[in-house]
Amino acid sequence: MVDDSNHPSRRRIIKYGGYAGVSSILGLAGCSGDDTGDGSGGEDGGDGNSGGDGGDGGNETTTGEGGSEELTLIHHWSRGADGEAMAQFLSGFEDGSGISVSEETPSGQGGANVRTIVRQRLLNENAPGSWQGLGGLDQIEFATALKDIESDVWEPEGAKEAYYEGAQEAAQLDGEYKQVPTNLHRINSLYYNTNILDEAGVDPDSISTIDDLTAAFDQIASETDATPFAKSISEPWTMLATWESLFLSIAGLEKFRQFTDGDVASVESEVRETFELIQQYSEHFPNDANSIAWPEAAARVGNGDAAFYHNGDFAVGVLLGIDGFEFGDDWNWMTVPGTEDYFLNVMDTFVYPKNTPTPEATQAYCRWCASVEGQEILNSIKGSIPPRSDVPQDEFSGYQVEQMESIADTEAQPLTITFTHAVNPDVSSSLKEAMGTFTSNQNVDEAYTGFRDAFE
Amino acid sequence: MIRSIHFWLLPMLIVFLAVYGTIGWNFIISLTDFQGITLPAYEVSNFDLEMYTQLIEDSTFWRALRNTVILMVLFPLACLSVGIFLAIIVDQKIRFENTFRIIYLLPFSLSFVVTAKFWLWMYNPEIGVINSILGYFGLDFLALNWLAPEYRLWAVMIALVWQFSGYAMIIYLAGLRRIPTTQYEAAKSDGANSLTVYLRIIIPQLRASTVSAAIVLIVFTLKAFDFLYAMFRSFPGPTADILATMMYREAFESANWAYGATIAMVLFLLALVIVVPYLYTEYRRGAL
Repeated sequence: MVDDSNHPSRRRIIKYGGYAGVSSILGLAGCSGDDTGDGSGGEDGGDGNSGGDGGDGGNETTTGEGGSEELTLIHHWSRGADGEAMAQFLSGFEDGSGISVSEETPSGQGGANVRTIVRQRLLNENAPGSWQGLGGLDQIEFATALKDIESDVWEPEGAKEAYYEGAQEAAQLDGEYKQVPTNLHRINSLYYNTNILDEAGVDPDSISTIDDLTAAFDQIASETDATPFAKSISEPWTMLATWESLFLSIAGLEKFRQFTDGDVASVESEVRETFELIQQYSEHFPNDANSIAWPEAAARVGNGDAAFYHNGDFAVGVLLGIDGFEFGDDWNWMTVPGTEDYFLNVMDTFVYPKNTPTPEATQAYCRWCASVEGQEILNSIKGSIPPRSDVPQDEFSGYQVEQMESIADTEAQPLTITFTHAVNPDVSSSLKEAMGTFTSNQNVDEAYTGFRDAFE
Repeated sequence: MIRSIHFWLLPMLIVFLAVYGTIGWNFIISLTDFQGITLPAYEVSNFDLEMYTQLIEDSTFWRALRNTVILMVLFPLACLSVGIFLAIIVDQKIRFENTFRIIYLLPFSLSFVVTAKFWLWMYNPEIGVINSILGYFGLDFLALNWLAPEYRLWAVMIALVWQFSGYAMIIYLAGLRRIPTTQYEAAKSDGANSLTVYLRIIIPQLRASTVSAAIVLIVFTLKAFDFLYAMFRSFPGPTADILATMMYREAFESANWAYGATIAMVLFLLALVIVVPYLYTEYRRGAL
């Protein structure tokens, strides 16, 4: 028999446990009180972010010199071709630099959760080594926390000479080079099923204006059972991507830029005309356009159920993934008529946070992102094209080579509205909301007002 | 009470800090202009009601509020109606009662993400089973584009009723089982038919079940974010946008933390409007 006389009673255990717990809670509350104090000094923290070299030094906790640092990287390329490309890309970086990479890969469409995590970490003054964003104004909210890397990354890698103009524009925030674009996708492309166009008697080479495209849709509708234009309207951003491509065609580059600068009133007639065109095209969308997601819409071109599809060329992966559906024979691409001279850009970028605890590793990583070798590995597997013009084409697919040759012939590479390159995320979010409302009620007046007010 | 302090103080502090502390903090944020990654100055002199003024002038807010209120009123009503109907059927001492009870309750146990995706597929006007079944029975005229803007909120409501009516059924079934059988027998012997028995005797005695189920269902509608997000992502369109989705867009997509916190405060007040009268009534009845 066990003698319990020396053991505390259950009541006593609960009692002292309770006291300990309360002390802990009060202790934590006290700690958070201190944190709050620091946080208000956190305005200073904000200043530290925005400015100071001293702040950088204070936060540097490098684990050693040179190659012994571990880079913390937040990105969202963890699945499919993106995941495979990133794995090879990081492997190349680790092998070449001796720096190991610790990845944090939150799920979520378009990296929305990357942004949430980064915000939280910066607010907690716990900057990571680097993170993935989209180009241009997408990263504007972090501008004060990012280092100007013109002399540390862009110049040593010869990037200022080699990058396309659009990618260089997207790399800058407030006139300083604060991002490194790694890959480009094109927004103003249409993809089509060649067999359906043949069946309908539509020659894709003859489509050079918006009117030609409209006529082609009508002809496909009357001559075949296929859906002329496979669009998913369940998410406003896919409609905004189509809207901006058509708007570029209708308004031209100068007015496109007037719009992105917020001068919507000066391009009112073109904005309205684009909405009216979408209204007209919506008659050629699938009946279940509001129930399907964009990959399902793209797959319908591959399955022979639809003739045309529009989205950024990241959607090409859907077509390439369909067995026996060959690029060139079964499907092909064309620019949205009237935008042949433009490469409407969407790109991913990586950045150098001022307060990174691993500055050497971050710098080495940013240089790898800007390098010919890094971009060759990443893009050849991912399906995108490099923002550098001097990357050899040998490792790229036929479609990619066509895009690489096409961008070299373009007059300009304007930045996308949909993916927050040319407008900031707040404006983009308001534009998407207005576009979502338009797809619901087809009211051009309300849509125009929504677009105009988005910039206010 | 003091002698038992070591039993209740710890849980009380945890609840206070984790729940009421964060609500209070959220309110403070709503008085600032916190946006992006620049922390606001938490000084009383900087606090104002600018975000609340902005909210009142925001047409998106009024639209989302209208949809939220519609959902708050109609969804619980539909759910309770289906729930009481199922409970009465299951209470008839039928064979396989337990099996039916599990079948009706099963949707409640599923994740909202699963049910949202499931209904998204069922609602597809081309390949969805709802229109296919209607077509099979020659009811093509009832086959709709269920997720078209004009039907979207109703489509969401039907899916939610499917998921939650099993819960209402269980609450009502427990209420029904508490009513003594002698009351049924007395009414029957007085010549009352079944409909009269339920309308005059049984249903009035289910008040407590109705109120408690209604409270849970109404509060759920304030949090129907998961379901809508899984179906439509953050913007379900003007006809189905609710305060919770609007709050998410403002706070987590646009980093308008203060504005998002303001919408959260409105949601909190709506929850209070529902819960406080209930708690007060229960308190007056001595049930608390």
